[in-house]
Amino acid sequence: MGRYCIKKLLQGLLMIFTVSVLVFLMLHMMPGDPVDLMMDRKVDASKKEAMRVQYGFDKPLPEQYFNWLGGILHGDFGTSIRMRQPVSKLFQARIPVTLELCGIAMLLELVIAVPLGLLSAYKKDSLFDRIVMSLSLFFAAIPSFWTAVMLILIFGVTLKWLPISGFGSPSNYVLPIAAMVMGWTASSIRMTKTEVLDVLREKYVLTAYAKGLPHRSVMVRHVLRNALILVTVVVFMSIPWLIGGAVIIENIFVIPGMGSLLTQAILNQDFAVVQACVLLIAVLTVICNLMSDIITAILDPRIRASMGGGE
Amino acid sequence: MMKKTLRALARNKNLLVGGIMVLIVVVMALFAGLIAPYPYNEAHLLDKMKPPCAAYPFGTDDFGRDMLSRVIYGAQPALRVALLAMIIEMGIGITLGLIAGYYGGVVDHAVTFVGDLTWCVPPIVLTMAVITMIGKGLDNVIIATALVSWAQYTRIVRAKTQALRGMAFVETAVAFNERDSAILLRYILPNVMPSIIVLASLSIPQTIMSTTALSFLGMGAQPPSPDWGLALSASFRFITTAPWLAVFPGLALVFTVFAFNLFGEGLRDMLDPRLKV
Repeated sequence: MGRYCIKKLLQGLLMIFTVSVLVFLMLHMMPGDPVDLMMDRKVDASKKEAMRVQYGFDKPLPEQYFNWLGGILHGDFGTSIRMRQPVSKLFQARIPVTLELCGIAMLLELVIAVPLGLLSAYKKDSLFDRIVMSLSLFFAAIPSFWTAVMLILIFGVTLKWLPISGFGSPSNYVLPIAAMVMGWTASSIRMTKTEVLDVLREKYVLTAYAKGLPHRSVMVRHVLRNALILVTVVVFMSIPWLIGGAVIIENIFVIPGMGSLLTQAILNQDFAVVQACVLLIAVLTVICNLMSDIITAILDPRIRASMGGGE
Repeated sequence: MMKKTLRALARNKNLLVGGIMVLIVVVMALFAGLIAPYPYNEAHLLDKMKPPCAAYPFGTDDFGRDMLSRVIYGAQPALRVALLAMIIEMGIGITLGLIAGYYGGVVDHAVTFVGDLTWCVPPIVLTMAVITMIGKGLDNVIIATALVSWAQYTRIVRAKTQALRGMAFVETAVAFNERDSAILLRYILPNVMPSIIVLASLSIPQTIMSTTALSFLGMGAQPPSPDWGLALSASFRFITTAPWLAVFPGLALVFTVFAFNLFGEGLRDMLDPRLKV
């Protein structure tokens, strides 16, 4: 078990290191001079030279990389050129907003998707299953940005029940979270069902039936217990998707989170911000994958047995 | 044979209904010039912001352009993006998958690692990062999407190739001293094809959704393209006064994504029944 965790941890670290190199190189892989990309072309040469020195572009690449990385490890993500503020300060204001949004959305998603997926698998091919599956297929086909626009149209413009943008009071949360939850819940229901059906095909389930256990107790004692593994997988697999979705939703509802920060930075070519955002999201995603692997291994002795002894 | 196929098709309702819906979208894209009542770019300056009426069933936008025509023409960028991205993804993904699965060892580790790298950032964020480097625009969105999503093909092709490598017919080919390329292309690839087709048909709707999202955010199609994502983002300013501008491009998008989802599920049930949900 320890060996398995260490191996996964090392893999994750290697992954984060590679991503950090790639993110660092983003600015240098582009055609043209980094200073030209950051400043107006009309700025005179001496000022550009000063900037080159200020940002350390005159040093060799590996040295630049380690300076950059060292700064990040000390909480210095560079300075946003367009907003004239340290990126870390922008992050302080914006990360909690996105976390809150994604956290609530994920809770709702779990509460809706896991029971529905379990029931659909349990009552496979029943009327209930068919209704849930058709509805989830339909909702999975609706892009979240259109859901958002329609929700605004119905509840904000026509009925005037809820505000259509802004961020402050709890009523501001309702529409964005609803738009986020709908699409993912649909796909999570389908994922839950697939996983539960896989469990149902396992030999230990067959054994349980062969022992003469009734259907209900097989479900409760063998299938549901294994569904715990599934819930953790759903949680950790959803986090990257939630963040990806937050990018779109925050833009629509004008919510000052990470997603709208990233979009603005890309449209304005504000590289320090883009690099910091991508790196942060990548690290978070790698950690989530790692957690999901390790927790699955703790809960499922077979994975532990098959992976623990190395490859 | 024909009868049998037809009967199987009639039983597989997803494939039938999805297939017809996909056909509608394809016809819309191919024959937009014949079906649409107006060119997508024709401005009727006297008829700006008309709600749906007899002359303009979907209304007109702030330039007086007919929304029905724009929605029909919008099928072109959507399908073009989906197909081109799919071709590039397949080219990279299948080649690497075959090589990694067949040769194993260091090559396999390297390919798997690079593939895993593309999973470690949410696809839309990674696509946006690539767009930062190569610039905005629909063609760049195609390249960025393909660079981000090829690994799903590699994953499946690699696993299948590994399994097929040990099979008797492949071993025989090796014993007969066939060239590696011949073994990969003539013995292994045909057996992997069904899974690839299923994956492709299920990933097309994902591609359409993510690329229209990028156009919606202003990084993909640029005006005056009839792209649905762009139309939605343009409609946003007029949400209180002209809701029809938001409704119809979105419906077209949902119809298309739903069509491909159904069609893909139908194909999967037919070609790869073990994966059936």
